Amino acid sequence: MNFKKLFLTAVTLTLLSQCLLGQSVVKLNVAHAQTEQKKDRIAVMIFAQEGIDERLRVSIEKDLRNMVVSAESSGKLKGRLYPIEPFFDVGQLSKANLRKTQRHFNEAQRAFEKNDFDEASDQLKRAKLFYMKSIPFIYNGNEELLQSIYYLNYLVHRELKDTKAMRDLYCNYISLARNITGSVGPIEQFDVLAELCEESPISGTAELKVTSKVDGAHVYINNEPVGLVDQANPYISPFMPAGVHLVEVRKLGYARWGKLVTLENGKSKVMKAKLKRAKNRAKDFLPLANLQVTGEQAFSDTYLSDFFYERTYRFKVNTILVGYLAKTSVPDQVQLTLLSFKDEMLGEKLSFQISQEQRHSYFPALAQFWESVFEFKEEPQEMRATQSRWMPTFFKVE
Amino acid sequence: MFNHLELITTLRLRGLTVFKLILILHLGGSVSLLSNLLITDAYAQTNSEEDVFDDKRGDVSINQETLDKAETAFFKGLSAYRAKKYKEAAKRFKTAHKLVPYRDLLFNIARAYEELKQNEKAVKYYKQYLSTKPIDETQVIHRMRQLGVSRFEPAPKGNKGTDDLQLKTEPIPKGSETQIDWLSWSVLGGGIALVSTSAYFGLSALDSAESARNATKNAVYSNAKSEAESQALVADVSMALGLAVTAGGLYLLFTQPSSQTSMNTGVYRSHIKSKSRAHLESNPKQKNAFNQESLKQQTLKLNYLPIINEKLQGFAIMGQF
Repeated sequence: MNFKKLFLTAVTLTLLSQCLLGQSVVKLNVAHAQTEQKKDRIAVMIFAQEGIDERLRVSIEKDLRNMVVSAESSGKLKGRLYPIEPFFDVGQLSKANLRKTQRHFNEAQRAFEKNDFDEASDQLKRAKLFYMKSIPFIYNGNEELLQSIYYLNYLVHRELKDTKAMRDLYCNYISLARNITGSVGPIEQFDVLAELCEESPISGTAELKVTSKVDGAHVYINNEPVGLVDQANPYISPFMPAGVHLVEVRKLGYARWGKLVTLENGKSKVMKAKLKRAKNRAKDFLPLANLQVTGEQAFSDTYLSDFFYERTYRFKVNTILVGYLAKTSVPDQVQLTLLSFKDEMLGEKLSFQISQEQRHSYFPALAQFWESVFEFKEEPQEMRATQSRWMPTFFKVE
Repeated sequence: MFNHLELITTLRLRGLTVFKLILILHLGGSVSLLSNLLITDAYAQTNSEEDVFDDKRGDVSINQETLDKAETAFFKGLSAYRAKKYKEAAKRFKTAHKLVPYRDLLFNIARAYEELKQNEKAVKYYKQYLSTKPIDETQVIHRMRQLGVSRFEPAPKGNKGTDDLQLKTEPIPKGSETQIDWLSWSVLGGGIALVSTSAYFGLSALDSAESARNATKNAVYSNAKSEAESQALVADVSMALGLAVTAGGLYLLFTQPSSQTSMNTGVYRSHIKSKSRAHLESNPKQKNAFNQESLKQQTLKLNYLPIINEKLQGFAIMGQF
């Protein structure tokens, strides 16, 4: 019986220690969560009934997003636009490809150390290939790897004494550093860069054209939203700085599409974006699109509130701004219903009659909606996506 | 926890079925374990999401004016470097680095000193550059070797260079490393708890078997016998579970990678620490130094396993009676 008591105490002790461990983990997590004070995340989505001009939908979405971006940059709004498009694609693929990129890059470094430059060049080619594969799914922060690939490639070609390739690669490396940071830079840099890369095609400007077979997609260049694309109207940027750019096309409900493009001086490049329906998160996305907000069959506010509460949790956002475009009996007019979910509360639903033909007829609606949600005025016509500089260009010398 | 045990004992007296007992055991013993698992899992998940979507522009505390000044200084330095005025270049790069502690500038300063043939200063800045854990660690080590550095240790923390990474990426959360350890330890603890409960039941089965043997009435005998059988079954099942969980815990404990090995690590960081790196530096011919080191560690781990298993076998033998 003594044994029995001994084991009983042993069991209780182990269970007690388990309990204590669990509690301390909880405490630690809570402490960590308290120290992190982050800005609110704001998601913007506009949906349209079938038969409504897709361009209208996407331009409302763009303007509302621009309002958020500019209100944030002016400091009036404590929150930032949060991209929820990545939730609807196959993000897991990216990690495998990025890991492979890293592995080949490491192999290349080892080969470089052993003065086996052909092998290093080969490994770098593979690393770049895998990076290309993972591009639609990479996020901010992985550009450093790409820059390093270019820089090491430059070093390798210097050792191989391939002068032309060496110069081009170094200029590519610089252009990447400049394009990713979005730096315009001071006047002093132009002479230096001209001296460095004048003879290479990586100087001056080039034209970029993006076409798509899907209507109403957002074009992102170097992680900045720059414009819209649809079947009839391609996105054209006539004076892009030459060099390496990351071009992406995103649309809610579609898997992202992206490619790395090297623009050469004085040339034009056309890119065809091939967007495919996202599969894995369609169950999250489709109910949002098919929600009845106004009219006789509208869902109750309680249901909507619960529904959006769940979405905020899933998309990891604090605020959702949603708009629904529906047809009316008048052929030219459409009904725009805007609603917000903020601070775990469903905001006021606002409905407007807007003209489908008249451009920017929805501006007063957006202004009124904005004021009702954020309690300060913001004019949509003054809003433009401000590509503010945030980091200067730095790169390694030759 | 005490309540659970009381519950178990009272229920046992009332002659509940074995399956229910197992269920309750699981609930009692594994609630905290499960909560640990769930919390850490969920926490890790949210963290990874944070990393994925974090905006680089987030909270850079340096204002635009400083950034412009730093960029100007950098390009002046670059033009000086191009014109082979390396002393001026080093000065300009230093100014830029003072304004914005960006790690590529450290590399540039080192390069300028290398061109000036001031190898000591060059090595000093290369070390600072290495302390920021750059992606091209190997190349820099290669360069330093070419400078004739036979032995070096990475620069100590607290240098200006150490903050460079934070401009681009979020720092690694403080608790993450310990959490992983706790996870495996708690799994291990849960396994051991299960094993000891099985031992307890095994012993009580022995007790009831003895009472069955001493029983004079037939009814008492059959009751005690069935109780002993069910207790033995519980003991066996929980022993099997306990062993499995313990093995899982051990596996986690020995195979869990360090949380610091992120995507951006260099070649050597995941394999060797500063000491072994210094060792590698001292013997450049010995290329497989870090492999040997890791092999040693692996063999050490393997040596641990049988010892623990032997102990567990002891428990198992006791529980099977």
